[in-house]
Amino acid sequence: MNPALLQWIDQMGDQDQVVAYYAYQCLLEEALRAGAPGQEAKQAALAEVLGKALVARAEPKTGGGRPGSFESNPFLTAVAARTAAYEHPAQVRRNLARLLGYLPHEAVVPYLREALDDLEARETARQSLELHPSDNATAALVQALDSAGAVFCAGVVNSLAKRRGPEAAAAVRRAAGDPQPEVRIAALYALAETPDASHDAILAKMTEASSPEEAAAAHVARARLADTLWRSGGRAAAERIYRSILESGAGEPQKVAARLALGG
Amino acid sequence: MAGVIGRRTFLRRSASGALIAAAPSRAAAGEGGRSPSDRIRVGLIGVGVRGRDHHLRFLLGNPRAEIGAICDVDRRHADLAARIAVDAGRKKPLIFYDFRRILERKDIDAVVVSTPDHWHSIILIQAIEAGKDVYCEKPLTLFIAEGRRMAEVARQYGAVVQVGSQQRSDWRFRQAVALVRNQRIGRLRKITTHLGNPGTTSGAFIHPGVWEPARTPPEGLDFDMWLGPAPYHDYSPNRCHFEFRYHLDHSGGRITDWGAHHNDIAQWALGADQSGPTRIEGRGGFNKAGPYDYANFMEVRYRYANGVEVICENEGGNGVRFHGADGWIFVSRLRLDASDPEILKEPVAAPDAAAYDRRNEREEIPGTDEHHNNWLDCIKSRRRCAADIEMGHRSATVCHLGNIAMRLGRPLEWDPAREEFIGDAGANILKDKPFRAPWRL
Repeated sequence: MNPALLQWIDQMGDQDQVVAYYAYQCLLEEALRAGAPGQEAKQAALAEVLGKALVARAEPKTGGGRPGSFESNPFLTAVAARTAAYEHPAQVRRNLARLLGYLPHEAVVPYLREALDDLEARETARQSLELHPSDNATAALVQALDSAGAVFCAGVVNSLAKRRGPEAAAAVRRAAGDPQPEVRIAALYALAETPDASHDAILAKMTEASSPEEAAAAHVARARLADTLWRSGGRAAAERIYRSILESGAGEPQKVAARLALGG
Repeated sequence: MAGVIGRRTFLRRSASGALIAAAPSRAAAGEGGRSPSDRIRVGLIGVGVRGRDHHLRFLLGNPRAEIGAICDVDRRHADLAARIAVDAGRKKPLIFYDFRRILERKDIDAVVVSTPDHWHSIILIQAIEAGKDVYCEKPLTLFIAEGRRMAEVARQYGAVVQVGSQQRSDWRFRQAVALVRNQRIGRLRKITTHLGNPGTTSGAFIHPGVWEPARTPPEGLDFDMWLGPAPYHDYSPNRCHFEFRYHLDHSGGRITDWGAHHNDIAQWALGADQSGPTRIEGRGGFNKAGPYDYANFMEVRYRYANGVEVICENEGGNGVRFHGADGWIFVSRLRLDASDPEILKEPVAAPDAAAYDRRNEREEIPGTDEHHNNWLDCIKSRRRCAADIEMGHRSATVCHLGNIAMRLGRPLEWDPAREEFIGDAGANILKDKPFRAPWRL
């Protein structure tokens, strides 16, 4: 293992832009080279170093403090421990999460999963998990759907849209009933990515949503689902959806697509 | 005459020659009530230097098009472009700062996407799903995986898409390709694509950039919307507007800038518009001091299934050199040369002649002298454009493959049919780039 790794990790937080950038580029080169076939041991070792730095916490402040002070309040210190007390600044943690995404090794997943709890790095961690095709990465993303934050959860659904398998599909179907519209709309498009004809019933129902934006998205998603089915060999199911689109309140572009597919 | 493609075969293979299925003409159907003889109402999305000085100016001078709307996340750009339109005596276009507002308009038939590369796929797909035809600047994509999706959506909706690799509509390049494909320099052995500065013999133009401190974006620039799906960065002028090209989160550097032109010509000459190389090896010089993170020195070697090698480099000026068993041809935007100048003197009916006929093995190279006019023609005819989306996707893929090979520094095997690296999970990760939430394709 390159002895400079820890130094570069620290330097990514340097105030000098050139130093910070140089350190990131050095680590990027390490990660990309470690990603070569046959380098699994190196990938695992690098994942350990980067991952530990990603989730490393600063030494907690202990020893009470004056009565009434922040340090003396166990509730506030508990919150601070979750949100602020990382060893490395946010930009460094985001860089580390990103670097882990370039390593095609299962060892990165536990660290990225833990980073999904880091409000400042979780979006990057989510993106890096998106690049990992493993079941553990899928499970981490499914779990992240319970997190707070509509935009973040919409991103999680977008990541799950690229997955195959019952666990991801079930999570996306659940997201279609989320109270947040951003998440529901993301789920509409995600449902369209899976060649499952039963998803059309959910989408068709959502074309009747009271929100014009959601209804419009559902019409577009139905056309996407039809195309997904068509390309995966489910031509009969795709044609049924296209015929239904022609009789629905879908926009003219979706009807044009339906007519094209049906040869009309 | 091995390797020469007959006209019928060529047309059968050529996407350019194809009518877009039995596409009901959205242009003629008049979603907004427009008759086929009317002007095509165009919305411009992204009116920085390229959108303003190239697309806007051309379309303002074209009686077949009308600028119906202008959009830019930088209010200064949008307002300036609208002023140019008014000063040209045209009706004041609608102005928007969010591309989705243009796509909602039923009175806009088509859009020109001239944004940074990280926005191309999202805008193009949403535009097509909103019933618009699209002219999208090159490189079509920021990464490989999104290109397949873009092409699929275009086909599903029967959309006319022109990619801004306008050398497909330049007579010099078309003639060079026709000569090569008709084996006027013998069997093709190698192609070198030179991405240096036009008019020079070196790539000295390529520089590492200058660091600037992060700062508050200028008034009128919605920087969060400018970033869109790209990873978050603080604002600094050396990232925004034209300089986005030199940041790999927003573009691919020199190899996707000029490479999207010259590697596209190589693909055309190789008849690889539906395919690509099978092996890639690259050396790139990355400036670790930043701020630009693209390869400021490059030499990428592509091997195609037919044994031809394509070498992409930033030395040797700017243009494409075809090396055949019997000679060479060099073509750039400034000149067309050959080892035997007589080759170039062969009678052709006109600079835009689509046929080259010397050996009675006629092969048609479809195209036009003017890329925008070709797009407008195709919107009416519902035919595929000279630089159709599949070609744009494949040519951009060649450039991305080069970037990935340079980054990884190891030889890569590529399966152009499955569009994936063979036996290299680390390389396959780089085919994709996750979007910042909430953006999605």
